[in-house]
Amino acid sequence: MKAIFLVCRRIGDGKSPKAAYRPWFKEGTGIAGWAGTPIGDEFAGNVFHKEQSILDLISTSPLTEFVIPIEVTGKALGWKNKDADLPANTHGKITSWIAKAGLQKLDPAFKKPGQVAKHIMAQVSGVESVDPLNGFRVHWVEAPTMGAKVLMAMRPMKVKATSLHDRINIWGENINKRFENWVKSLWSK
Amino acid sequence: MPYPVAAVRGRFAGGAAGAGYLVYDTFTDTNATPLVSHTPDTAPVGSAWAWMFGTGLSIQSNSLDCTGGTPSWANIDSGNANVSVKAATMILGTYVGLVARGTGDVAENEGIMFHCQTTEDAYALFANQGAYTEIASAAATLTPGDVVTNAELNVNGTAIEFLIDGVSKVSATSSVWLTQTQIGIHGYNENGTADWDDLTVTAL
Repeated sequence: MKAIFLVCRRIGDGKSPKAAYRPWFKEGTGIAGWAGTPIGDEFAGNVFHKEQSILDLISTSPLTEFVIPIEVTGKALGWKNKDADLPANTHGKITSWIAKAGLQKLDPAFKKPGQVAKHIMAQVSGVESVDPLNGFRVHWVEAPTMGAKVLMAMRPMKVKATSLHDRINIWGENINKRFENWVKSLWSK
Repeated sequence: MPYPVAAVRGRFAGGAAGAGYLVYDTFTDTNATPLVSHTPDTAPVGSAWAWMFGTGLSIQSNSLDCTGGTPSWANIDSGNANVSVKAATMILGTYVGLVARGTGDVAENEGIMFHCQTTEDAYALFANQGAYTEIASAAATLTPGDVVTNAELNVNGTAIEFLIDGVSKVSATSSVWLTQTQIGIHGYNENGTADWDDLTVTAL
């Protein structure tokens, strides 16, 4: 059994079970199982399939924003598999970062994700005019386990991470670790 | 499914009459009795079946059938938010399901829902807040007329799980509707094939 954690586009209008709000890959990909959480117009969750090629198809679709491959041992599906290992950052192809650390630490004038991203990128790069997105797509994510909204910036797996991404360490916090813990907290519920 | 209907229907009826259950309903009543006019074997004082959507659920041959409605949905208050909702037998139609954590708000489509979806060949979980919102599914080969035994929707804290004969089929987590106590029966686009029998609700 193979699995990925992903954030992807939501489809449906919610007016019937067949047209329920659901992740786009529910249709036509032969997915064996998935479980997740709707976040605005998107879904965040885990997808399972025995064929890696199907997961690759989902991962590379423009309808999928962000993917982390997950190695699953055993046959259990869903969020109950607490023994499943999240990949270490060194081999997990995590091309994303999260800036949260409490929104109160940010200037209240920053209301839009893009503005916050620009501020963060400028802070960590030391270049005021840095491209705030730098290939990342940015949006807010509700993360109750972290007590507030989270700014999640993400880029597709097919785009190579930049050295800037690797240097990101905001306000002395290990962002990658925070991200891993957040995902792990979702996984272990 | 390997179980002929006659062999499994009513298998639960030999148990104690509702002992230990928050809700217990064998759906024993006169044919064509609407569910909301039927009194369950066991239920909290003052609790009764009520329509959420449609009116297509009625008693037939001492079980509950769904003869139409898009959807037909009735709830009853169990008095507990963390529950196991189990139908000893469930005959599949198109979208045959169970509900937990219903709010009781009529025509608002609110609650945690499970479906056996023969049109999609899948087990599916929903966390509905005014719209059908699917939060998990697992592929399965499902055909109208299949008989599922011990179809069980469990909600406990944020954990949601559907099991058949004690085997997990699909699970998810959701923080939607953590304290609501109504449970329900849900069918969508049904033509009379869908059927539920021997419903029990147990506190978890």
